[in-house]
Amino acid sequence: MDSKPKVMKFFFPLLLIFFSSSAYAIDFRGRLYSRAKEKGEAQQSILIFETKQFLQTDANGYFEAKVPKAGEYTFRVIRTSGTQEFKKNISSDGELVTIYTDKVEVPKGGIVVSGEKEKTILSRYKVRQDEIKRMPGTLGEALRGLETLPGVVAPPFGGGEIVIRGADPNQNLYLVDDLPILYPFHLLGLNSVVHNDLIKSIDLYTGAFPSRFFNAIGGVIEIETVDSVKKTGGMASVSLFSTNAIYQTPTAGGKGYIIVAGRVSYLENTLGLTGFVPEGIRLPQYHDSQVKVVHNFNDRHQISFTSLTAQDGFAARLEPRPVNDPTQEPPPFIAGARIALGRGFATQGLRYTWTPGNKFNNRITLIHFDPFNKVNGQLGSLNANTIQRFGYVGLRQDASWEALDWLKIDFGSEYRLLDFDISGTSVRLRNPSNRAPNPYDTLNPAFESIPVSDKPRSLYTYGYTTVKMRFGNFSFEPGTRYDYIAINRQGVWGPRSTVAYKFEGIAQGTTIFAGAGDYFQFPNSIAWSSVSGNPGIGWQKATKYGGGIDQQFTQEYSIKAEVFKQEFSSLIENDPNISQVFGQNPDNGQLLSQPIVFNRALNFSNRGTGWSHGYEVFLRKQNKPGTMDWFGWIAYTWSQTYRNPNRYNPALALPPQPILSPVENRVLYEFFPNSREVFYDFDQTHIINTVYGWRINESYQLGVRWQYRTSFPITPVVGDDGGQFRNPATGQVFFNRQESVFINSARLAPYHRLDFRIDKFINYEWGYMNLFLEVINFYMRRNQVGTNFDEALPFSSLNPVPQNDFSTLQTPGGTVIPLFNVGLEVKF
Amino acid sequence: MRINRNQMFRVFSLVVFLFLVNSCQLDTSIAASDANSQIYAAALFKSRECGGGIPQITIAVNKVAQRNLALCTIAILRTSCPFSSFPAICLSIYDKKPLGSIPPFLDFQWIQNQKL
Repeated sequence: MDSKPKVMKFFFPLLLIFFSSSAYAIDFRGRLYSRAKEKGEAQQSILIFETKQFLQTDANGYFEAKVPKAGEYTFRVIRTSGTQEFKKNISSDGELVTIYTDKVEVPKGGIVVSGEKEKTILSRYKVRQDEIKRMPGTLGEALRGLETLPGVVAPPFGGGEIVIRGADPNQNLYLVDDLPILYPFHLLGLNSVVHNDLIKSIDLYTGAFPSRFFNAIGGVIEIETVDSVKKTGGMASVSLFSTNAIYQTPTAGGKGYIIVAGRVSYLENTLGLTGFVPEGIRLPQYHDSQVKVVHNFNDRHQISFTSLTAQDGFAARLEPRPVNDPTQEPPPFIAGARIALGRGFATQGLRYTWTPGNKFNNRITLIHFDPFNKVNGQLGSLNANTIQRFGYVGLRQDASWEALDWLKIDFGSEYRLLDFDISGTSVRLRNPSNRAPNPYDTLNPAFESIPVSDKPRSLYTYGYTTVKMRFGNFSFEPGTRYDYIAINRQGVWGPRSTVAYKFEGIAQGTTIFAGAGDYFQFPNSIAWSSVSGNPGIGWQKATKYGGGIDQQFTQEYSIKAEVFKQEFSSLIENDPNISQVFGQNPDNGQLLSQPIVFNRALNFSNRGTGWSHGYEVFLRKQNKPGTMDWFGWIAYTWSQTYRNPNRYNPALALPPQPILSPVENRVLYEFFPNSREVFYDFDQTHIINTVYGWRINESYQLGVRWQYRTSFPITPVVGDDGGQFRNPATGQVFFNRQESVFINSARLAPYHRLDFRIDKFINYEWGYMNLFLEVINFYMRRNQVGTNFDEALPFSSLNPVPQNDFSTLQTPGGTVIPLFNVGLEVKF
Repeated sequence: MRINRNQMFRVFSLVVFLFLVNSCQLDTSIAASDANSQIYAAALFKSRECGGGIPQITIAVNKVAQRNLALCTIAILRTSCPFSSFPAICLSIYDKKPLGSIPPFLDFQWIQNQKL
């Protein structure tokens, strides 16, 4: 079957939008504008060279003209003192073309990576909002641009979270103006929870980060929002997934400003109507809002209020309805299942900033953070229904003091009251080594229910300092912090330090740098709950080392290379073997009849360990502001990451062990852990990201991105259970996969993908419209991100099959097509 | 001749357009060895469930339409015991064209139990 005509039907209108050049005359308005005088140039003569048409500007510098077709035209401004020549692109009717006569226009949306000298050079990459906003392959989300930076891995099925130098995504810290957010992306990872145009810049710390950041053993993503609003304006953007808008205006005669932004999704009304979504699945619904209000009383006193909220929901109910065509039935494993997920957060920050002079600055912030997670689901005999709230109220202080020319001190502290509320029943694996658990096995259940209702409260407090010393070209920045959590009376010291030296003489300068430190993260609410977890659970720890060289060749070209090693210890593991000799019965319903239980399960332990090492190279070219030069970068990362849960795994025992009693299991677990160090789930040896951007003219911008990654490791499927169980909801047999004991021992083909994006700008007097077309997976590679075992069929050479990533789109006729994303943004 | 930015962009657009028009088409048929592997696995399960051995096996000799193989495999898994012969629908694996949709007046439960 030839499906090309259908493909043509699909592609043609999209391409027409962008590449059409009008074959008819175009009427447009122009304006001659002096940036120095900040007004239009009146009564000036202009010649359009190609059409030999003479024009005259009015009192405000405007003129009206007509050209035979779209294209580039030469405008000569004829003055008594001489002529000026400008080339401008005319593309559509009604367009406003502004000719700046005395200052070169800065192109909108250029993608340039910039460095910042004031912050640490070690393991930090900074990008501005306008540098990554129009990056291809990001679905228009600036935050996704972080995926192109060194040391960063983007898991294929995550919600947009990133793995930084081998740390789990939930070990990273996201901050928006130093305020917490629960998650950076909404469900499915299509949209972020912070509006693109609220973001001023993003600093990504991949290694040994400064002491003011805490509660993270991965990386830190520091998002700084817009800190100045000079005129009223806004932006609205529409896409297939959601609509978002932002409005900002100065207040109190320019002494302050207000920014309001938000997003609402409507996947159910777009993708949900295509017929590709299986019956019973309600696509995620989400919304978010951001409010920032700032007022400067004078140069010394500033007060600000920030509110960040987001909420996501998803539900599915796979009814086992009889279907005459068995290939259309829901998978037998999940037929009859239902799930409802909800999550969200609300963050409010009230901040007072005191700046008595150039050498001292102090901030006091009152923070209220209220995140929640809800799960309500049923699969087979499993029933989970939990609601978790794990918020806090905190009072934080951060100061910076330049004591001497060569000495600067940062210090701060926080007093935080954690207030957690967990209720319901959760489900957990009885044996976490079992990588193919069966929820329908009632004889030897793979899961068990645990009550999780608890309301723990605790004080959490910390203090930190960093001393920044500079002697000529040498800098030394030792720092430390102390964190204390009262509920388990645990305090941890986190010393850290960086050194750097800049050599003059080689081109624009060479800097060598190195750093190391200890980093900690406290456990989540369920892990240290006295009911569902282990009250004695400790902090997760990472020791980070890194060093490298930064060479500035010219103002435009530079290269940065780093080596790193990270050692993870005390990682929190879901641990079915850890127990205390006796303890209070966690089941409140049995407190009277059986208040004390023996071998009380603690469920979580700190036995996990791991490490990662590697090197990164970052070669970049910036374009000079005001030019339409090309720009881009190449980021290469080589790394290896390992994990070991340090448990006893009966499948690895030699000789094979008979079925052991719980006591024997605990003894072996305590004294003979036999689990092996294996590749981490998201280990990728080679990662290459290349980004290229070119502002073609005032009307068009082109972005191209190519990425190459070694496959994630996978655990091979080696068989099935022989079809021992049937789903009671349908009566159909299903085959539970059996995985190799050699975890993460195989890899699929490498992943590589080419994306591009074309932006068309249509300028008007009131602002501009930005129409964009994004083509993801341009050369239509079937990139594999795992394997998919179909439980309806037995293990064979066709089952499991490689699973392609989201960008591999296949029409019903079998044609593979790129993923298209179109959108419209209006700035006023 | 000097090529300006607009001309370069047009050339790029043309390359993109031609590339997309010639987008590749996936062959969804299944190799005979893979088809045989799946049919054998299904037959092995059924023979164990029903007791007794695997009946004289249906062997694919050419590429098999994906849909036809799926219907044959499911029919084997669901056919009633005793498993003395293969469901008749498995003959479709010798047809290179995918079977159409099952008409509403035919019940798949009836189809799966029609044996060779």
